[in-house]
Amino acid sequence: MREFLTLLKPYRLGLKNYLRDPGPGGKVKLMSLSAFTLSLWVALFLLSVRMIRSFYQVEGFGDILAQKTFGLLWLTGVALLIFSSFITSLSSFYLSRDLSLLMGAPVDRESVFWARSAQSVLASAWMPTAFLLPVFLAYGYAFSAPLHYYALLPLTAVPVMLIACFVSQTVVILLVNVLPARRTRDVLSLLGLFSFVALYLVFRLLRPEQLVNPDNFRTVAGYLASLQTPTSPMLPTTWAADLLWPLLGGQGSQFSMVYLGLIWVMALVSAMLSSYAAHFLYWQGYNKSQEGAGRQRAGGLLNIAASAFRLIRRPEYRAIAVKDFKIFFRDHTQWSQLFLLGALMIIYLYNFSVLNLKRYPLHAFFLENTIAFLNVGLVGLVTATLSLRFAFTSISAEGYSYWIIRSSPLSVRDFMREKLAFWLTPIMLVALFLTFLTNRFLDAAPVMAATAFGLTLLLTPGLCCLGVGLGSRFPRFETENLAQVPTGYGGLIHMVSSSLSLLLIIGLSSWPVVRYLRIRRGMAVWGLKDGILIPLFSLLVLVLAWLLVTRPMRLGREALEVYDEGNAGKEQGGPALGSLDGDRGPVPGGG
Amino acid sequence: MIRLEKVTKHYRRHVAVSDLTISIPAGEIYGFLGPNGAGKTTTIRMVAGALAPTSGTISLGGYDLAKKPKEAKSILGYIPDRPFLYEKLSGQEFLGFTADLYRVPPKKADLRSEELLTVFELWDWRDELIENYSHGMKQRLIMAGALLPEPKVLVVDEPMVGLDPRGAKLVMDIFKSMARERKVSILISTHTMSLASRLCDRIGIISKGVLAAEGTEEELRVSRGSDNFDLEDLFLELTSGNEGPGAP
Repeated sequence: MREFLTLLKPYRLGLKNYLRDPGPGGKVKLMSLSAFTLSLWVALFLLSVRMIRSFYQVEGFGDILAQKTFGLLWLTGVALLIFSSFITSLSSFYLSRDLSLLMGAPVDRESVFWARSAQSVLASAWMPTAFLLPVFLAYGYAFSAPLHYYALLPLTAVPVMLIACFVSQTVVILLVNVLPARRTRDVLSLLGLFSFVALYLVFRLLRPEQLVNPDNFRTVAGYLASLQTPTSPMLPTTWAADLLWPLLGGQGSQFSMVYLGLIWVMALVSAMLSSYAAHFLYWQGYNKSQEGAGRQRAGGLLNIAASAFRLIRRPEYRAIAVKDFKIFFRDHTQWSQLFLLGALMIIYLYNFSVLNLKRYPLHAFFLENTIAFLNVGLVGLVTATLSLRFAFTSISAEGYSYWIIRSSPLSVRDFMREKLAFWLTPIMLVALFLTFLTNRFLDAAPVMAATAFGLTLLLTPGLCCLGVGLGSRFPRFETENLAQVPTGYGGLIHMVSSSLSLLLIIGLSSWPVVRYLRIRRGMAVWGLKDGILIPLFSLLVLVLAWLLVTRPMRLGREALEVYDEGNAGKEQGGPALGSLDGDRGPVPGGG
Repeated sequence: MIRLEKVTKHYRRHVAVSDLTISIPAGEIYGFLGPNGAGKTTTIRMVAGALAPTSGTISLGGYDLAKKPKEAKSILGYIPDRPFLYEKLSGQEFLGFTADLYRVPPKKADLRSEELLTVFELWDWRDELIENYSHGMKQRLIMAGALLPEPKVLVVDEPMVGLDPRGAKLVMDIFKSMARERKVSILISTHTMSLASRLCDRIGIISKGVLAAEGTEEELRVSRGSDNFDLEDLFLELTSGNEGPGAP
């Protein structure tokens, strides 16, 4: 036990030191992050209460719907936890840089395993907990649950989470003994991503909003059949839902502690399984993971595709573009993000394809055109997400190799411009494609479609500049996992700034558009006021769009020009919980 | 040539380098010695343009690094102590990338790449991804990259880290020939007294961020007034108990 606690010391002390001294401006960042998280929780809580109450307005079915959703929440949470735990336990058990130090120390290998296991559980469980806790509390509040619901919630959730984590850990130990660790991580990352995309697509294409509209079902049986969720009496998530539901549904007499016992026994069994796997296979797998994935050669189709960049005349721009292109398509963690992008686009287009505005003939013209206009804002949000995922992370993607750029003749300005050009082209194409197709689905008037197209052309460069600019202002060159980069403080600032900019620009553009629609429908006549205000509002929109292009790039350039690797860790708003597992490598230099 | 004038670097409250003035003419190899945390790597990284000084000026080949960074860096080759590279590129691709970054004409770049990959014994590995290279191979690839644009100024941090004896000798010979034949100014930071003694024309010893002694080995011997002078003795005398915290 003493060894176990000692091994957890770096994690504990690292967190303590960070909280004590988060670096220059760190306290402000910490407080603003906490405030944001708290607001998110409150919003999630209120939204959930509203959703649960709206279920109950569907007479006769509300109870079933709320119960099924409750079960589905447990199942989704555990599914997410299993995939997240796959990745974190693989890093913690086999890939962390400090493992060679620990394996050489006079400590029991099983202590190393359990210390790593605890870190992995913490790193993977905090996210589902953070998102699901306000929802489960909302269930208690909406149903006026007794106090022991709140007491039983952690007593149930903790063993369920432990089961998910131990199962993942056991599978990882078994897999590493079959595959090399680095390849296992690639396979699991892809598997996790595919499953997430599939889950998301299935959920969306099932059109769950139809469930609250029983008119769509001819018989009660048909409706009930449509509510079938993949629950099984053998799953601990079903036990958890069945244990707590009677306290919510006012069926206290059906409450049974047997489920709680079952869950705890299952947690113990999975811990034992994990322990056995560790005892017999951990050291063997660790050795295997050190052997690497063998020699990999560069070449093939990627080189042919990269030759298209020869068209770029400036050699230093070409150098960065070719490098970024090859690295993007050779790194599974980067190119697999394209699946997420694909899912996002399908869902987006699908939503518009099923939007049947013709049901409201009287308002169809206004609805179609107003939605076509608001669609620009939605496309803007998709663009902002792409900018965050790709343009923002492109700076941190340089990693520790940033010294190569820093000591080269390439200026920070040119470096940022190249990153912008590299990502602006595909993001612009996606944004225009989405705008074009959604306008087709909506059958928007040509002038509206042209306005939407123009606004997309105007907004996309700004949103990409925001990505590159803030990515340079808040770089995280030390991170091993690029997917973590958008989840930091800089990512938060990016999303807030993007949303505010979109709100402002769309808000300012809306007046001339609404005016145009009213005049066209004969509800207003063209006057002097329109002649002054329409150009004035348009000018304001142009100025804002210009500021969105120039300001973030300037901010980013100024920060990157004086970027100091030595203080980098503290400048970036500190470590995320998931990155405290010893994965962070050393900063070059320090003599 | 390399010139540092009154260069100071602060890390928050800690002074890593204080009022440092060094001048290295063309064709000279300058050894920069000091204990851990004395400010060697900070100085090297400032000269390489990877870190901005808090005050003072650094010029390379007459170009002020702060005012004309592009011109100054285009004549600079930098070899850091840790081989962080783009792991998903091959060795050949990395050199191609470096050539474009330093605007080396394509034909010349191909010739230089082949020559350097052969010299550093990486030719057979040229199409392998760098992630499969050993530490020493990565270090040699970084050297090949730094030498490819034929720099007039070379800044090297701990050149022999990760190299086997054969690799170390090869590197020493290359540095000597660059200084003698092509008049390249070379600044080398090292802990190894024997390397400094064998390779460097002049030596500077830094302690607690301040230049404590400077000169040729002969000048340092004269300054001590002893024929039994040993570079290691002087180093220990000047730096005893002076180990600092280093860059944070």
